[in-house]
Amino acid sequence: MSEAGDIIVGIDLGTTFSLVAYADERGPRVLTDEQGEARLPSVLGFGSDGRVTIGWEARRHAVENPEHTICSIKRLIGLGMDDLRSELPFLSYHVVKGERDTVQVEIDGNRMSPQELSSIILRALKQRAEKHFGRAVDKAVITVPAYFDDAQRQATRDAGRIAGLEVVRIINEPTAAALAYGIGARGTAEKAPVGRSVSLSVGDKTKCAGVGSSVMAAPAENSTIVVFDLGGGTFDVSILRLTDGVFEVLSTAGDTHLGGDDWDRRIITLVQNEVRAQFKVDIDSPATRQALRLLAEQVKIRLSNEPSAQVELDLGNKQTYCRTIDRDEFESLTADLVERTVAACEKARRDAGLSNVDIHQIVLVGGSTRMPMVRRRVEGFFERKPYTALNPDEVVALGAAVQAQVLSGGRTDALLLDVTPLSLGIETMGGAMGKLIFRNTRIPCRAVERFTTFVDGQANVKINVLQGERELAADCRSLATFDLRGIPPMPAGLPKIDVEFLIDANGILNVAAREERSGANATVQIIPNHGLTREEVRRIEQESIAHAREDMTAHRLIDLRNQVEFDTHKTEQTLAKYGHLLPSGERTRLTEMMSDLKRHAAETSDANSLHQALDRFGKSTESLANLAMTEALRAD
Amino acid sequence: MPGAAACPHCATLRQGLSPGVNWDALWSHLRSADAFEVFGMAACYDIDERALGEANRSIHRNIHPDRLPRGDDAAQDFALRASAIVNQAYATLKDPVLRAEHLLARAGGKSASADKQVPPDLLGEVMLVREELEEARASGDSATLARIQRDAIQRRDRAAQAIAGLCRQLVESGGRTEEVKSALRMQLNAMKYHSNLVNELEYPAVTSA
Repeated sequence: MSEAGDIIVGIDLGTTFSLVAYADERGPRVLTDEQGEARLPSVLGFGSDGRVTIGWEARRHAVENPEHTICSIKRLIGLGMDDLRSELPFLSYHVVKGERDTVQVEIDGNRMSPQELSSIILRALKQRAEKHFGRAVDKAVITVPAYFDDAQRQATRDAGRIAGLEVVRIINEPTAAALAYGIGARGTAEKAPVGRSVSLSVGDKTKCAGVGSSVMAAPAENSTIVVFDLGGGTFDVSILRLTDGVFEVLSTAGDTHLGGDDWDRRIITLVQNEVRAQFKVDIDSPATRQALRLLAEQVKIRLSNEPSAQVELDLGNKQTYCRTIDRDEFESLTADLVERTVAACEKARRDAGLSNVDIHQIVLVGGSTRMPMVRRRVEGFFERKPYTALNPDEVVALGAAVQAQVLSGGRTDALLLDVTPLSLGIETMGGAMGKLIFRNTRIPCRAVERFTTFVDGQANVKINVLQGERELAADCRSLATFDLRGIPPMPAGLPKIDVEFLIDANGILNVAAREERSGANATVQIIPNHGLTREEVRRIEQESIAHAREDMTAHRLIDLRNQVEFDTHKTEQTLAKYGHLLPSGERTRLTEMMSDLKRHAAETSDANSLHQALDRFGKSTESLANLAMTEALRAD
Repeated sequence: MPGAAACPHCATLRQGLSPGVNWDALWSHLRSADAFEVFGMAACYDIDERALGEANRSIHRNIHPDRLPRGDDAAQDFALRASAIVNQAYATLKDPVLRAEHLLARAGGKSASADKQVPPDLLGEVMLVREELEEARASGDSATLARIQRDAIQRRDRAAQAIAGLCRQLVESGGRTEEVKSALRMQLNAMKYHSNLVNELEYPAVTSA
């Protein structure tokens, strides 16, 4: 890609971790932080001073700061209060009802939408990419669970927009994973150096089991692949056929509220119940929720590698809860969760019209597929050993980067043809769900439905748009109310309003309406139930641009203060060593300047004035620096 | 009934769009194009599924939104709607029942679901099977359940064969034989009963969920 071209990055916005990746002629690679870590924990910490910490630091302080630490925000995005009943008891932060049927997180009286909170994570990844490339990055492909509905997809796109990113495409996580695997199998690109297979994972963090021999079993050129993606909070299974670089999704199934978190919660509930029984105390404060969450996660991870794990909990008052959980107990405690994933696999396999013999490869994605019980069950169901050559944490981001490369025109040998995961319809008379587009229909797809009026001169028609598989409208998710306006006045039943429902390549619904007799385009006002209106997104976006400026100033001040600290410290050292060679007036002047500069740095909020002061100080120390250099040379 | 469809507009979709293409003209042609025409295939029941898959992929390589310029609104609008039409045409031809319904629609007259006619002995048979099924389920009689499933699959496959035969006759007759159309409608309606039952027996958990 030319230097002047747009950089489009691929972002995996995960429940537990988020990553950013980029693909060029050398193949896709994840972008790491200064410590060489690709994963950014999807955790935010809100300090009392208004400072926001992101990632590892926020995660480290989660227990001390439970009500100000936001994690697993992905489980809230695009949902309403009713969708979250079973979720709320496990959250350490405060969730309140927002406009329409949305939720907001309340932190010290401030309310923020899940979109805004997610945008903070996205902005951190954007900045990581900008640092990496040394130029602005404002376009991204973002992945979502395949089973995300329209509201959740729109909310994710809005989060991107708030972060200052044009979301050029939303793609499904399992499809992204298949792309990373499929492209990897085909040697990435013809331009790749000969004689060296291109490695898709960066660094030596690849810890997944089965690396080595299973690499030999990479997907064949033309094959049928099952992607089993169990993340921190969501589960998807997709079946794809790969033919000459075209990735056709045959079917997808899943659960947007099933992931590693749910395995953790079984341990949490066990511990809470036992503590209540043994010690007659309830451990359900925000701080213990957060501590238990981390403890449960550690136990779960340990049980993936060892037959048993020790749990110890200091309850204060010299009381300690202590017990051993072995793998068998953990597996029977969570057996129904695995069975839910298997039920989805069965649904996907049926919808694809396939049986096990037609399937060539099972690919495991997502950190939660490290659990032996999951691997065993998947292997049993598909009668095939799962394949895990790529790091399950990174593969989705790598696939997103490949798709970004396709969209930037940098690659023409791959094409994704995906499906819509849920049926789309409208509420008909009597409260039934009238399906217009069935689940697992290839996208883009389109349905046209004719509406008319019931009252003479009626100027608008309201349509309740639904997504789901159930027969009754009340059992499906109402995405939005479409208000068709500007219908020319006519007797009842005469207008013919053709409404076009179009699901685009992002899996997002677009609607257009037209009155056939008059040829008038009716305007469609969309009132989303679970998302932000266009005006709300625009407002938040503008506010965040203003904030970004403030954030940048704050960031610059911190950098300058550190520089002051460093420079003065160095000067003090040099003075101590060579100061006796300077005239005493000069020595005093430098010492005074240093204390002035330190005071200035501590007090000012004006980055520019501090920058100038730092420059002046730098010039004043030149003679000392020259002296030190001469002395040092002489000593040699 | 026309045989092979050699439409020059649809051919450009498979072979590659020429520069300076008129999106509006191409769209107004495509929106009313016949499914067989889109893929350049002869309008008949027995199709080459490999060739259909090939043609479908070729078209998407040329018109998918990912393949047309990102900043060009007219091109993107065409890509979105045209892809939707092609996807629908592909789904129609790929599925044997939808393909049969499409051949019936081309021949003119009522659709199977509008006609509602079924073979004379179907309804009685369905009622008996349902009764038997309920009994077997209640008593957990797995041997009977297995037999019901075998029978249901057999009936479904027989209906599929009947549909295939009638479609061939329909195409040969040029779509003019009313008796063939009527018999085809009945078999298509019967097919719905049979495949619903097969699905229910095969995936009880999924169907009830």
